[in-house]
Amino acid sequence: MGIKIENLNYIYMQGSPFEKHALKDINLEISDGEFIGLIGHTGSGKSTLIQHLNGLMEPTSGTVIVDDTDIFAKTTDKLLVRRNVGLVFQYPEHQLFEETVYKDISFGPINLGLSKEEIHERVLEAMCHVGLDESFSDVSPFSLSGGQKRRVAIAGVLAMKPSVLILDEPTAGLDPAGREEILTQIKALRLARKMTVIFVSHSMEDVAKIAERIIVMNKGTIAMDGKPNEIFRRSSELIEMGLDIPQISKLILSLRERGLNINPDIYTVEKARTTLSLLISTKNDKGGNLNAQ
Amino acid sequence: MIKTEKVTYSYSEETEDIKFVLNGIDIEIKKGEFVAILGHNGCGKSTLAKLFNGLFLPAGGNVYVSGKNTKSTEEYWNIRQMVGMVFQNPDNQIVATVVEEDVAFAPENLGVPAEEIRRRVDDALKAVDMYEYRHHAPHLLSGGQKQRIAIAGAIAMRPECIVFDEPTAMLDPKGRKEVMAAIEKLREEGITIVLITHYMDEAVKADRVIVMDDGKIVMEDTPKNVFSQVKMLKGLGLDVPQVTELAYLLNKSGIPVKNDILTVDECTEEIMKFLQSDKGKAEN
Amino acid sequence: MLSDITLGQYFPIDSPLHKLDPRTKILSLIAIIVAIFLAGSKISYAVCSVFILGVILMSGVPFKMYFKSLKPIWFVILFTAVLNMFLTQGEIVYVFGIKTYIKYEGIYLAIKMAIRLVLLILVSSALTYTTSPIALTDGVESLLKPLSKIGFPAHELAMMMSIAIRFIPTLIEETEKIIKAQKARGGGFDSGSLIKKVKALIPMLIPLFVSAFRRADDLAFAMEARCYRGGANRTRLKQIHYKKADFFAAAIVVLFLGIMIAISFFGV
Repeated sequence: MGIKIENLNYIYMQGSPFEKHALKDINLEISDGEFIGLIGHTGSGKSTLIQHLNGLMEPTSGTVIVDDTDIFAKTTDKLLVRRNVGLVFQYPEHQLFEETVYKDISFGPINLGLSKEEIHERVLEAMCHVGLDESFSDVSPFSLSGGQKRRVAIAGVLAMKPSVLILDEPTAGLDPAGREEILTQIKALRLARKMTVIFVSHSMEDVAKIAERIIVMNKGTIAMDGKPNEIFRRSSELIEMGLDIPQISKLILSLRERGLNINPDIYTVEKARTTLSLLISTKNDKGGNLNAQ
Repeated sequence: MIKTEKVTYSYSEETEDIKFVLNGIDIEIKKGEFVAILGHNGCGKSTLAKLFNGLFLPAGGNVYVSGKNTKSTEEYWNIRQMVGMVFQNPDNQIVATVVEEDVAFAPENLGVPAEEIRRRVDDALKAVDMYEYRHHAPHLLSGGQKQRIAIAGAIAMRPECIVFDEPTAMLDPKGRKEVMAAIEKLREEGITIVLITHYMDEAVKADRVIVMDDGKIVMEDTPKNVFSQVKMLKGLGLDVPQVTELAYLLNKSGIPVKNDILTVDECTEEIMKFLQSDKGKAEN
Repeated sequence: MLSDITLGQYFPIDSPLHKLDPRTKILSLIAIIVAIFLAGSKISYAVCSVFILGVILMSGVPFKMYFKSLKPIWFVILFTAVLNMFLTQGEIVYVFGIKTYIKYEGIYLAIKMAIRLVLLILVSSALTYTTSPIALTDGVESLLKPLSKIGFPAHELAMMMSIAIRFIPTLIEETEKIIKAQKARGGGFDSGSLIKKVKALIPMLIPLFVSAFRRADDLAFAMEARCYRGGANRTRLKQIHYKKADFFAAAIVVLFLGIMIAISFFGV
């Protein structure tokens, strides 16, 4: 079960002067229910990789196995693959086309050939998951705000009931409140549906907030793969790859450079707060009352 | 440089039940100043930006650029030339199929002689570090590069002020850095800068931060004073830099660190002060 | 892939033809097209072919590219040739079924027409290969400028052309993205009956139009912010000037046209 990527290679425009080896021998296993943050700068191959996971792009060599099915085998039904692995593109609101929110979300389930009742149920459930109540059903998606449109588009993929959900930069271009909202919904969604989530982003702070495993791509290869603390501990390498790291990681790095013995695994504000207040208060106990100075 | 007086604006034409996107904005931006404008989506900040160079005219109140009212038809083009603009989407503001032709667009419109255009285009491209790309096709460049070309396109008008409307919102971290570096360079050259953004680490670089909510100005102060109001900013749907939030939380836990910390360096210094001075004392 | 379609097909190298003023090239193309249509006799075809071969050699663009330009219309050439072969009256060469004859005149005309079409395409390709889309629009604008006095929107037309050229790659990229996004929702674009296929286009076309309008709106603001106000008092970064080479080239084309007129007039 899960996703297994085997010796995946993708060469863009092979044989032309624009030839580019976009994916180099990728081997990866993702178990059911994992929450993965996939990061890498533009051109690192992350977008190419995710498009292989639901068969939108065909590999030059190697394959992808989803739930024990080789998705590139001739006998595999592509529609089933796309139902299993839902992909939400960057700026997904640009793909909305129907007159109403309800109709747009039902596009996926209709393509799956489901019954009317089943479609109805799925559309309402998907809307509920992204925080849109039933009153939005008959509204034109084009009259909504940017953040709402994006949620309609995400619901359009959720209505396919995928077991794996891939989101490419779901927070791009949103304001902080909008970003927070989407992140919270993704977290809740994953708990409710128990699905595998692959969250693609170049915002390290977003990834640090929600991912349980981080995969870093660089130049078409997997450069790092591990738990967030294991990844952010190697912050200087991340910076070298042209990636940004959470500001807290930068702070920890800078404190360590100053000779402070602090756990390099810290990457969230909350963790930094508890560790630092502990450090400072123990110092205070040893060295007298700081406030009295 | 730019002054607004009780400015209101509405997108609807109806007179009854009118909904104002902007509701009584008074701002004065001085020459050479770097002002950041923050606010959640739909708070009216992009509308305000378009009022600064007369793309929109206020429904009520007045906007003055170097003392000239944007409503006066004679000054129409002078005002646009004085206040350049860079927009959010890098693809939708490039007109030509060759980089240098695009940068030349504004001076061409202004009727600048050919030799002078050449000089301005070269200067502008060098200013954003894109000179070597002058013969390239824009659609093959990265987002950050495209945005720098858009900046060069504005500089080529020789404006006194440039308004940036979320110039980094669609860029990756590398592109954001490139664009911010270009903006800071312009600031050093004395160009007035108005930066609309969602990224707090960009806003901390400004001389002054203006926070908008629901068509009104709700905060206006130095970055330090604005960002130390962590609770209020969060209430407005905005973020603060992580280190600022950390300082705020440490304060709440009873550790009296400065609460107007904006950068990693400041935060390191402050924390080390607590840990080191103490250590020094213990050794004595 | 959609992005393989390249408009204008400019081939960026340095050759004597690349250096010519676009106006010279556009006017020369018109003159050469007239000359090709004047050709009637074998000699005139030979002169034409030699001249155009010369143009091709001067352009410095590899022959391979010219063959490529002929590829999409091989069928048209063949089709007209076949039609001409069967439908022309004259001396019978070969009987092909009932009442279908291939006649000597038919073959002759078919070959002539095929050569004419090939020559037309080759010489037009020579223009697009050696002239960038921008130079081409500039040339068109400058040539049409006298007409703007009688209200012809020469500048606006040229501006529209260049913006269209600018946005084609962007919109192609956008189309590919939308197709992928709808495919990810189970939409199909490459299966089913014709009606189904047309219906399947809606989820692609509507987002594409919406996006094109949004971009147009943004672009209008961006252009206005950069003081765009139509063609009045506009200067250009790159002035186009006729150079010595242009007069030389024009003289050669005029000479060529003269020879062709003479040939057809005297019926050589």
